[in-house]
Amino acid sequence: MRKKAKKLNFWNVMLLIACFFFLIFFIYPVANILKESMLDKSGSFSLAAFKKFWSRKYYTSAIWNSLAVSSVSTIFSCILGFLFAYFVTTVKIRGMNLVNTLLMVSFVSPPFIGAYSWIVLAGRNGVLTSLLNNLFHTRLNGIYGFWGIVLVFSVKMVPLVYLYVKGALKNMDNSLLEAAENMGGRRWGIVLKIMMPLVMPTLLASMLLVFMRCFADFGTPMLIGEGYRTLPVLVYNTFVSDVGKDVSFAAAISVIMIVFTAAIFLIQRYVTSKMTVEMSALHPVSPRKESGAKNVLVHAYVYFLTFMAILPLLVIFYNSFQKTNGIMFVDGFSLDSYRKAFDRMGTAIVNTFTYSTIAIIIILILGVTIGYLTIRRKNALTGMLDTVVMFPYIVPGSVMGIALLVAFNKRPLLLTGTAVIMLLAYILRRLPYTVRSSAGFLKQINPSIDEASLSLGATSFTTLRSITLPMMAPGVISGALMSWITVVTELSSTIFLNVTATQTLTIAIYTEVVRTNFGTASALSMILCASTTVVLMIFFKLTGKKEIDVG
Amino acid sequence: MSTEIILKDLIKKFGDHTVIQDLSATIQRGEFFTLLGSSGCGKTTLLRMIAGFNSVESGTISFNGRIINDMQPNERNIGMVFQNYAIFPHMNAFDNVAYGLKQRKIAKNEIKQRVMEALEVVKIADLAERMPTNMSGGQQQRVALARALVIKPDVLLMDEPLSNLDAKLRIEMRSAIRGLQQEFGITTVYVTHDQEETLAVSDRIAVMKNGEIQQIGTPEEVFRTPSNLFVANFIGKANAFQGEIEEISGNGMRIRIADGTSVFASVQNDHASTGQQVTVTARPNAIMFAKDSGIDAVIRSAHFLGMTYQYTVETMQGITAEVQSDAAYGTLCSVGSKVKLELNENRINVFDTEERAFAKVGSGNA
Repeated sequence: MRKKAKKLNFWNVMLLIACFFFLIFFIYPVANILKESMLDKSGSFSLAAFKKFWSRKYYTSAIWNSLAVSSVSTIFSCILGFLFAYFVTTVKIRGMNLVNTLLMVSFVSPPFIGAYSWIVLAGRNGVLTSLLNNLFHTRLNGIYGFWGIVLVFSVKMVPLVYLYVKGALKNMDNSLLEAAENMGGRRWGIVLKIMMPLVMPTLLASMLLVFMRCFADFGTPMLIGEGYRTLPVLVYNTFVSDVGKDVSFAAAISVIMIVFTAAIFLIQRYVTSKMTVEMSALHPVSPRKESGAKNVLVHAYVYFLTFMAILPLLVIFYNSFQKTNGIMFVDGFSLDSYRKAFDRMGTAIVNTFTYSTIAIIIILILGVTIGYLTIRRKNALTGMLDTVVMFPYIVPGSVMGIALLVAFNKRPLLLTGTAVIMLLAYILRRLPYTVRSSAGFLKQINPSIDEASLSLGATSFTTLRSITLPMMAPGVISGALMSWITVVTELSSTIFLNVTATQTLTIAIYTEVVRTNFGTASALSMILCASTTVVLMIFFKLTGKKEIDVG
Repeated sequence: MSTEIILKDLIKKFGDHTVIQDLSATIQRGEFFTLLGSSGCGKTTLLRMIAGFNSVESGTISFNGRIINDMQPNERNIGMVFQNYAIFPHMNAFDNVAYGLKQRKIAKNEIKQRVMEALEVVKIADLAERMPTNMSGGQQQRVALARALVIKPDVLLMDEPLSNLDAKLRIEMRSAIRGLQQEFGITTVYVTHDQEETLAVSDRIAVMKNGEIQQIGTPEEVFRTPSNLFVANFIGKANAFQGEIEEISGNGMRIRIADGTSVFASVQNDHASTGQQVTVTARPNAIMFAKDSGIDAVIRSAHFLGMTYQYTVETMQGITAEVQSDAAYGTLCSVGSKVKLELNENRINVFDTEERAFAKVGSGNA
């Protein structure tokens, strides 16, 4: 009996630590934002901030802008991604392995690198723009604003939709299509009537995911938007750039953003729970060799989209080796940009790797512990924790940044300007994924495995150490690698939280791009992309997979 | 020396739902004892109570007189074989089997020796290095068995160990399990819903329903003299005919079935009275097609199964019955033909309106 009490205490202590962590570092900052949004300068209750927001078209237009870019980008990337998945599942594509790898490499690169590359390509002084202007004697002004953002988002999100839909198509038995064909269905009829409905739940789930990402993204609209204000841009401008630094107003915008993302999240939950179709394929659809015009068109489509996805990386690769004079590119190649990058941004590089490694270790420990608690030690408190741990998922990065900044800028918890607050942002934003995946792996481990260990004479701690954790390890570690990639490419939160001493690569790149210092920005981006690519390769090697787990 | 398990007045509740209802039983030393019942009857719950995975709300479980209610599962020295084998997927066969010995802090070379012996016993010594993903279901099952046996458990518990195997392997493994149990003489509690398996391996069977034991007995007892209608139906097929006691005589009773036909049952009649409603049951092979008199019926389906003919018949009263006859000779009767059914009086059972059996006279107590 004494042993039992001790065992319960260990897990209770872990549970309390997890609860306190969330209470202090997540619930408090977010609640604080809510409070700030409803206070005026003198500190008394007022809805003035919300009134100010709704009274001026300058502000409200940001909502419609955000919804518009997100919707249009979502529709584009879903159509493009679905077709991509459909083509590569049914038609044999030459060099598919390379196509896959390139798509993954592009997918794990930071989103705003796309924005910056497209400025270099198709911006005011872009290569493409000048080419077209010279050729047709036009005065194109480059791709900025709405369509610029849509272009970057759509291209960026195609791999995500593709991976999702391909997963679903893989689970569809070929006999379903053969049955449809047997009953006289025509090819596109089958795609529309059989494939689409079966893939619909997956497609909808990925649509909402894409929408959520576009809605919350800060870097892309900030760089290529040029005055096209989306909500994250508006909140950043209000909070950082405005002279008065209107905390209460920024808080109000944050609250409005959370309302939107929460709604999207709830819709996504509802859709995925209502629409799951149980499928498992004995004979998955296998790609067929095609010939003639169809073959050429399909190949052209697949190669073109892959090229578009990888193009930003090619641009920065090229730019990073270009000779520079001040901020201008000149003819010839050199390693100057890299030299400058290491000289001036050395700390950013060191910071990136230090912070991300520490963050991942903490995420792993917390995530696995919470996952274990919610699955194997079910009670009222762990149930609550299970829900709360998902909340950061609906808080956009910029809102999380502001929340942390406002909450911890005074004693006793003065964290502003420290590495700790950067780590907190990383941990909070990534923890939901780790908890979910740990819980998922645990659910797959049949409880009788634990019981077998117990009945063979092992204590519950030995069972955890020698059975449960080793069984979870492969999944958890590959998840950690993906988490690492998202942490090093994070910008939305940390842009608010960094000071010069705590700058990371993404922030350094952003700053250099804003200063139009494209050479250094390219070199830094290459360093970042090279490291995410290396980690991606390690992930492939470790898991034996050819694709990443998205979402 | 093997272990005697005494279950006394056990009660188990999940919330308001009582799963085990005041259950008592004694499992003898070295006995192969089977808990048989359909899903939800509480058999697995009871097994898990013995294993220590389910708490005991009331009553006691004792091994050789020692009450073990509050003992942790890892202190009970029980070997357990799970329905899904519960093989540790990240360890090879050897390490799986060695796991329990390592917990017991046994010297390395002894572990090696005992593990190899155990793998030898279950006939997979050549698979020692193999990982579970590369093993068939039957091989995994053998690892699970070796792992449970190698720790020299006081009691061996098995939870539907054969239900995930194909039919042929099931028969092979069940004789392997029975053989090992006999060889080691370990008291074994075995849970299954498969009545044929039960009959094949058990020393004694406890038939369970709604958390209560309906009958405990040897396979023959339970099959031949079921204590109630539920047991009769659960183990083997029992065709039921409604009837009325026509006459009570010294060594039995005459029962009128349907219209006109009657059978004589050699059962105790102390509590019987003329005119009482009863149910008469007969196994499919205890019904014959008679030449002249019997229950009128029509053949609805007819199958030749090699060893036997299998018929479904329907009586004039609309009762459907199964009839089985030796197929060594004769020909298959055709569907639609009219037959008369005759019950083998030595092999019928009689139940009262509360579905309790009238005890048989002279037989069935072997």
